[in-house]
Amino acid sequence: MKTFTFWLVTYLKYSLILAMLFSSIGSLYAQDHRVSGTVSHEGTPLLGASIMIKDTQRGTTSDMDGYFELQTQDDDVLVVSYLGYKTKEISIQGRTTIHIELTADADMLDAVEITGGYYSLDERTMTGNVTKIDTDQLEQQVVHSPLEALQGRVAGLEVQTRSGLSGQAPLVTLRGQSSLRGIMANLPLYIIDGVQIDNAEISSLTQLYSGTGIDPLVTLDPSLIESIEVLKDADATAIYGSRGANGVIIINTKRGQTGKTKFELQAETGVSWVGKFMKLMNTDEYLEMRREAFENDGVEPTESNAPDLLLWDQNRYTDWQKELIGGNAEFQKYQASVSGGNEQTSFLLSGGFQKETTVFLGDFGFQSNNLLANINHQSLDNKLQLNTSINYGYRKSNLFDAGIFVNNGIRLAPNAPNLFDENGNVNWELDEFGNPTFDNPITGLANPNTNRIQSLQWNGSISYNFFKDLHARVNLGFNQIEYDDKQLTYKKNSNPLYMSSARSITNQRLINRSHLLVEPQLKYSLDFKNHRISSLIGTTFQKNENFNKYLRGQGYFSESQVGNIALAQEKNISMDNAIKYRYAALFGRIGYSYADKYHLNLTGRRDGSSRFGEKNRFGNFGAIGMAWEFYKEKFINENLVWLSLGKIRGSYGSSGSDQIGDYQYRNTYRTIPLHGGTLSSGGLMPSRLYNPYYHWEKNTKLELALDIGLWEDKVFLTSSWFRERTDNQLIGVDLPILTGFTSVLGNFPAMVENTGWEFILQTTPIQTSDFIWNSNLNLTLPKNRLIDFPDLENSSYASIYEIGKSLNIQKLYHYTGVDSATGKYTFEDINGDGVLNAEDQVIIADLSREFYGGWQNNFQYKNWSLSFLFEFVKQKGTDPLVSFGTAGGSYNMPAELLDRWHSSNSKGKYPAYTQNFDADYYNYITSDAIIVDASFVRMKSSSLNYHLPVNVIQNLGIQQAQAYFKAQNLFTLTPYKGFDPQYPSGLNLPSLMSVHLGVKLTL
Amino acid sequence: MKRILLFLLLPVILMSCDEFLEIEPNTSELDTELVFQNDNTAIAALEGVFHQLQENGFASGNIQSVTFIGNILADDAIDYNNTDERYDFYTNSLRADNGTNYNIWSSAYKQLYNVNALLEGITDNVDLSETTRNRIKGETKFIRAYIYYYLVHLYDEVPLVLSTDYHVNKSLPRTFISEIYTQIQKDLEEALVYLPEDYVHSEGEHIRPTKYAAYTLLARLALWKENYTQAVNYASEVITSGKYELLTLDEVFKANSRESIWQLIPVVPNTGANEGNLFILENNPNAPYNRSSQTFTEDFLSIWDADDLRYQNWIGVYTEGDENYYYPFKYKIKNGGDSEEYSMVMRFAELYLIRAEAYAKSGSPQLALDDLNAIRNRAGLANWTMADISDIEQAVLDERRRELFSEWGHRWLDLRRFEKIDEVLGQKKPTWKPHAKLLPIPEQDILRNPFLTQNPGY
Repeated sequence: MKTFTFWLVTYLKYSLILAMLFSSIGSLYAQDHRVSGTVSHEGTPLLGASIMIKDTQRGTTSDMDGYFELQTQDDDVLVVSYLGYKTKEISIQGRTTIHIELTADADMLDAVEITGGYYSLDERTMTGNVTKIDTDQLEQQVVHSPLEALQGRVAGLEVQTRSGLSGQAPLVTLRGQSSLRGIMANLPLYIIDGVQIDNAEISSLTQLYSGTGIDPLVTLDPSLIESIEVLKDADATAIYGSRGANGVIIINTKRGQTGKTKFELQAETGVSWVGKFMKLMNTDEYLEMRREAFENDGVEPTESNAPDLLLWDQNRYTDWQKELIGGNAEFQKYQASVSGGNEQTSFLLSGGFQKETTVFLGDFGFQSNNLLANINHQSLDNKLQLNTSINYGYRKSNLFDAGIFVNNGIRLAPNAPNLFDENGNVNWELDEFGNPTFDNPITGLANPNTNRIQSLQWNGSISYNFFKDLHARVNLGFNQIEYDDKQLTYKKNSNPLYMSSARSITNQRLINRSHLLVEPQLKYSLDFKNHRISSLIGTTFQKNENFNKYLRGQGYFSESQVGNIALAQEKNISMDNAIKYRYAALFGRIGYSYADKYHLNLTGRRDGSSRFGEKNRFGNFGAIGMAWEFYKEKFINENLVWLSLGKIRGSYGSSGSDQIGDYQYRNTYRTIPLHGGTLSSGGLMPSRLYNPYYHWEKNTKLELALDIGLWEDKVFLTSSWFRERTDNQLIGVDLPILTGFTSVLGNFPAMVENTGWEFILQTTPIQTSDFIWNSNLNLTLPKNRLIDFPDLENSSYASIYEIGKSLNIQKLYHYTGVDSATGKYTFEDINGDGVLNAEDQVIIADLSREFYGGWQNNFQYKNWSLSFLFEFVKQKGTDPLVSFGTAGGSYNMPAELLDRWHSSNSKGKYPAYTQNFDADYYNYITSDAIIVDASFVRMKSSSLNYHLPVNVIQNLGIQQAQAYFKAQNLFTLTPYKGFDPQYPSGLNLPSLMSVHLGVKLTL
Repeated sequence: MKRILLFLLLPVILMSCDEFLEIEPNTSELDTELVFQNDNTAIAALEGVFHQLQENGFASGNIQSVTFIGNILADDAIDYNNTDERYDFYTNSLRADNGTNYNIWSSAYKQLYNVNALLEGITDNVDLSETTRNRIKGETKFIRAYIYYYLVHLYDEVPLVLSTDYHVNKSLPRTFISEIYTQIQKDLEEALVYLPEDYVHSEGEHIRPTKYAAYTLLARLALWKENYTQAVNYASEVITSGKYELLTLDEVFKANSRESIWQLIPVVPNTGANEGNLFILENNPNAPYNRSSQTFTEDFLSIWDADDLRYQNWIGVYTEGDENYYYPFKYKIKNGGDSEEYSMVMRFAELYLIRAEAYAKSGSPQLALDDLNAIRNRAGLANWTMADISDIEQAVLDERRRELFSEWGHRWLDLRRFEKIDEVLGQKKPTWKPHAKLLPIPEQDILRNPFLTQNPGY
């Protein structure tokens, strides 16, 4: 399972021995023969143990019965390893069958290797903070994006899904918001197989993805991922220098394994649906509200201002939530792979196909394909190593354009008429004069949006072992994302009132992003007596190109031509950008260990980025990391026998950020985009306020941690405390429009601090020969504070921030209830000047998480395994009421608004209904009344696996067969009234509940 | 081995860091330095200002323009859209953070930045021809004056921004009205030097300001400054120039009409002038989901003489059932006809009314009456004599309302200049509050510039 990392480490450790081996024993003269055997622990066969031939990449894994077969030579040594057990080396010495008994390892974590990006690490002796999620944990979940799979699993990492629509980019924040630039500027660095992926969202023409856009990783199928590593502290991130300020997420795709050629087939099917609806008014309640609103306003309802009362059926009732977003999203997936190889070369070929529909009313959905090909090769003398991987992903989405479809749809009056007329066209429910009386949400659904994303990632590396422990290596990488988005708007769907002037429109957006990377490196390590030194020096050259085009055609002779811009009567190109970005760095790391107990690592990096003006291009970053494995000290070792691991580690260092957009230091004009057919000659306009002087933003990270393992690591606790400070904030400093623009990019001497505690408790409460229970609890207590902001009161940020408080606050009015005499909202006039304005917005509500975490449990009983993950968050959110508008208008409302003021009910909780624009409502939604508890505990994922008994399937020629069931978001406990406490704001499509079934065969 | 070493190190050898980090600019942008090295690009930057004025904001004639909100702020029109924040203009109960109000303000300051940038670009510039520099100087100074004319009369004291330096501009306080007036006067006097008499910069189309546009604005300003001699003189410059004339009513708003002094060319294709597109009613403005347009108030409809051709020609009616909805019909085209009607910014008739007001307020009622009669005659009405008039100032105010309605918020500003706003609107609008005569300084900017103070009452 960990071929790649294993490969690296093996390579480093034994390269010297290898060289000697190969020079003394010519492989040509060795005798080939087949060895078979079983791997077990106290009589229980171990499934998936790794059996490798020492000093090679060849090997295999054991099956359900612990059985394995391997082509070997007489004098080969087998290295048998299994997570949680001591690794064993066995010389074959001509034997053909070998039974291997593994013993449980106190150093359970020994087997967890961290690739850490440029160098590999052993989690036990590591000085930094890295959390690794491997393929098993990914496979237990129903997720669309690899990032979503991290939800609740990594201490310090907040992953918020902004909508339940497949493909929506999740909001990922590691150890808190550090930049005032806003949430999207706080995304970690994403690295796939060594190559950076632009983490910027892909913005779609359909506003269904508004907010965070489409996930740039959407084409990377989670089933192709071997592991995801999250690098958090200074020691781990410093090697990424300027780009590591927000942490680094490293995704490694699967690699070929040597051994017998293996075929794997997987088929999965499932269904997802909206698990929670809001309680809204029914027809009687709604109509009562409307009548009362008119009565309160002293306005007579007429056919034109109240068709819902006078023209529409008074007894009709539709639950629009169920009608519009109550469907079942069906899911199907097939994946096949073949892998194998010999001593010199191993390979993996994997391909998949996936189909999915949506919960929306209508025929919408997604189709995707993926392909992964990977080859590893080493020369006969083992000095030269090559490997290359290609990963292609394709995804097509058939959607529609209705930005606030969910919002508008569910607020539709419950007695609103049919969406379609008798002929299946959009129903406008015309009145006698031909005026529509109905704002039909179906118009959006009838205007299709089709978008395609294609991604291609290629990476390769060549490394050569010159002598002893000196290795040279070049990493090469290229990736490209191509996006083509078409939004069609049909004239026939427009409001009949505007039909005469309406025209059919085709909008098209084209994006092409590419990254090219070259990284030459040298590695050297040295062991003598109790000293071990390992060092690395390298450079990075990175070239990005980003093309954006926006095309539009309008006016068609026939609706069948819509979609083809060339056929439109008017065409225009309103955007054609070519943006370039280059990045170069020199980096190095020296690690020193003494007696395998004391560890010291120094990392440094000098970075240059084209995003800065000529004089400020380069920045220096560095970190120091230390660890002391105190349990290895004699006096502890002898007295505390139950202590299986004890380590104190700490790190301090700096990293930076250049996520600021390109060319911002340049003083330029740009061409005003013109509409096709306009008489205006357009012209030029200034692009921005420019500032040639801004420079790198710096982020310093400090971490102290204690790792403790007890009773042979049956209990393992990691506690870490961190403090990150970001100074010289590189932000678009808000400016009054008096300056011509609303912001200018510059360094701002504000300091943001994120501190927090992270705890990870891994336990194995029960471990018998046929029953294992593992549990993994993580808890994060974050604190985000603005600790310095010179002259905040007189700055443009005075109304947004407060020193000593989190960045995620809102300043609000104090709501004092409904006036029992007038039925209107009342607020406290804090400064007593008789006017309610910004000066009275002094109540501070903090919307950041107070604490969060996850609790994962795995149970294994014979052929069965069960696992589930609870995610829990304590936080405040905004009441969904803010999305509904004034009660009394022609939109439906939450049923709780029935408790309103009326001349007969002066104690109503909510104000008197009105059908007018009510300015007080806007004060209400910026008051403390809308801040509610949005904490939750959610069963994030659960899965049940069954391995078919080997004796049943072996006759069919099947090595392994498993059937599984997995579920996502099965239940949620929360006091929050909106759709989804996970994103407690607005009326987006909530995270869906899903149930999937699948089978996996290995032939 | 050497072979491999060379192969691995080749990339390092080939690339030098500094050179590697040099990137070409975005293909859709042009360095400012280059813009002002070439006459064509400098002129393109100037043309961009006119485009943006019409595209969006206070000068656009769309729903966020002075024209549109001026009608509902005053006593001319009703807004049916009671669920939008624009309704607050109609009820004169604006919140300081009203988005439309912010748009008026921000569109004005954005163009001020652009004209200031142009003025800075031609300062000490030896690359551009003198013709280009003079043209830019004349047109930008005029535009700057024009923008301040509206800012100061909608908001009272406003920050006076005369450069692009955001270090200074971000914390500018409000400037005394007298200082702003002085700046407007100065800019216009300079503009007079450089602006041409005829439309030579726009191939004869009336879409760029000329000397006469500057005189018109100077005359308007003189009324506010109560300098009536000046007002008469400036207005007379235009009236006696022989370049303009009063046309029959359905000809006035056509593109490049002889009555137009300055027009803006439509930038959104197939909608023609925004005013025509917005005002002309083809369906019930009070219908559900379509409450987007305006109709005239009863009060406005009551001021007309039935013989007045303007009533017949410039007011449209949409009938549904037994309801009649009256709307501004100065522009005749709702959709299409981009080249037939342009958005009118200044026209000749106003000069007679400016001069009439100046005469009336400086004790020359007969001269005032003569000018009013010029306007009345064109509307098919007989001459007034002194006997017909009880209050000449009131007569001017009323005639201005009849002639200039639904254009550029004239009625709203007139009520303020005649100091009758409280009296008139207090009577007609139950929701009227005296502080509403000034729009609030947008809270969006007050929050970002602590030196900016709010108008009283907000």
